[in-house]
Amino acid sequence: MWFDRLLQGAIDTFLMVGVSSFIALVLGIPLAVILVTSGKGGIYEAPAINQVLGGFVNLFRSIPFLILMVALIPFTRMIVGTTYGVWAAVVPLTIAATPFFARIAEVSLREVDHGLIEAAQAMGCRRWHIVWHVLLPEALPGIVGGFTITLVTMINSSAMAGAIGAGGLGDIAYRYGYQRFDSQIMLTVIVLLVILVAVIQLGGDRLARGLNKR
Amino acid sequence: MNASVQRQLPLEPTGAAHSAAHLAHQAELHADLNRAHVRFINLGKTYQGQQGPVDALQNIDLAIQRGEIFGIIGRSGAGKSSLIRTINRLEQPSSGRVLIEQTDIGEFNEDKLVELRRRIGMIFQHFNLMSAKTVWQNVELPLKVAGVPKDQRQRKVTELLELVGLQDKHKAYPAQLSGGQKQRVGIARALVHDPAILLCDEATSALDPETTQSILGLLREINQRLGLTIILITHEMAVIRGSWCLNKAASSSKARCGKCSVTRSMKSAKPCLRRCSMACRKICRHGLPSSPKRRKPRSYWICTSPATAAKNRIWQHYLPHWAVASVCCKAALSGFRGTPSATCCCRWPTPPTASTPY
Repeated sequence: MWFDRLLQGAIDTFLMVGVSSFIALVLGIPLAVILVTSGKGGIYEAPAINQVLGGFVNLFRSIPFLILMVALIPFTRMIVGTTYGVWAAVVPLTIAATPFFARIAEVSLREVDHGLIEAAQAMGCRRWHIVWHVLLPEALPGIVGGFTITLVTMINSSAMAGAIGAGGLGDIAYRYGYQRFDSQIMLTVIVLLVILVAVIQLGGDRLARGLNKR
Repeated sequence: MNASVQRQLPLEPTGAAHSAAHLAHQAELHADLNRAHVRFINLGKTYQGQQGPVDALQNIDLAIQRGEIFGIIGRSGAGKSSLIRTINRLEQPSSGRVLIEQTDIGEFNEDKLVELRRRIGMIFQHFNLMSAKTVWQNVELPLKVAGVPKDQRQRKVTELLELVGLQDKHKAYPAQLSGGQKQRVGIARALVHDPAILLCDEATSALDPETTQSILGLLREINQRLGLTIILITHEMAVIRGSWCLNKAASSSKARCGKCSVTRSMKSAKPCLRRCSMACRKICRHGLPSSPKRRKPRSYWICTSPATAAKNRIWQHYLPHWAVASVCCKAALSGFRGTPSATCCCRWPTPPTASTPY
């Protein structure tokens, strides 16, 4: 019985974290590119867009996740149709993950040597060529590292999502381990989470190292 | 200036009645200027520094002919890089014009600018290779973004890697290459569109002396083989003195500085760079124009506006072909502190052919 519960919890965690991180990746990279290129001295300089987007990103980063979840209940209901369960948790997780990942990706993109951008301009590249052929490949190791950090943070946040009935490993640890004082369960879940995070971190590091040809 | 050279010059005024403006006008129409490959007219560039605006370039007038190897030397912060970057518009000049093949590039929109940049290659001090791409992919990149089909790309990249001598390294990443090899990759990448002009922004400053000479040899070979106009920036005397052109005769001959009329041995010739008056700010002098019969000219080049050139009877600016870069520049360039700066521009000799007058 415990094995089934833990298995279900693991699947729920993977689902929540996986879907929200994937959406964060797909939305976060373009967001980061826009933030970097629309800044001062960027290739698509547009200070207005930069300020507005930057403001939004800061806003969602500053709200603690628990409060964000509760505040987004009407929005979640509108999108998913329900306010509890795995899919309902995906919405606030995505909204928390995207600006977080965007900021980390932005740092990696900013660190690309300006000389490379000059060289690309000097060889006759248009601006989106520079983004696609220069900025993104050069920043890729950093972006992969950032994605790894985002995944681990989302695993943490998914435990909080357990509070709204989303399930997942964190929820099992909270309900059975904390509320029922079953420390054996709590320990089991902690060990499982540590292993999960270690695997993710190792995998991410190896990928980043492989992509880093410097 | 000695008289024999003066006789050569078609614009020599015969009477004192010619005003400076008239002479300037004549100078403007001089054929050499009209067929110059790259021409700066009254160029100025001002940066917004922390302590207020800083003039990096002021009133630069210069003409670079086709197929020349043109060197610009000076201290760090003197404005050499700014000057060279205005050619392919990596920097926008604050005033003045840049003419490339007699076309003003100031009005170019993005499409034309991209086209222009494909006709101009550039190599950098820190190589600026994409670290995530192999040598092959790096050299191929300009062709790829231009939409050239794959087989043509393959042919061109192979040809260029052979030219620079790196055909066996096409799968290596830049981190696995030495400095000289990286610069060769940079040169291959710059030449991939068959440009007419090659800009070298301190290309050998990060390399050891031996590698420097080999890169300079490669550049000279490219100039002779492909007829490229090469514009070279450096702050090292060795680059200019080294393998290029200075011959012993030039270095040991006497030089007379026209500005202050002092004769001194060229070997120890420090430039008589004077802090010129406002009008002639850009003059830096060294060397002597030789008699036309000599096969080893020693003259020098300066950048100055036609009006001031006329006023000071300095015509080397407009002499074709021959000049020896006997550069002895403590040349100017006091850098970004608001003091007047001067750039010394020197040309390297092209080998004598039947058609040259000397």
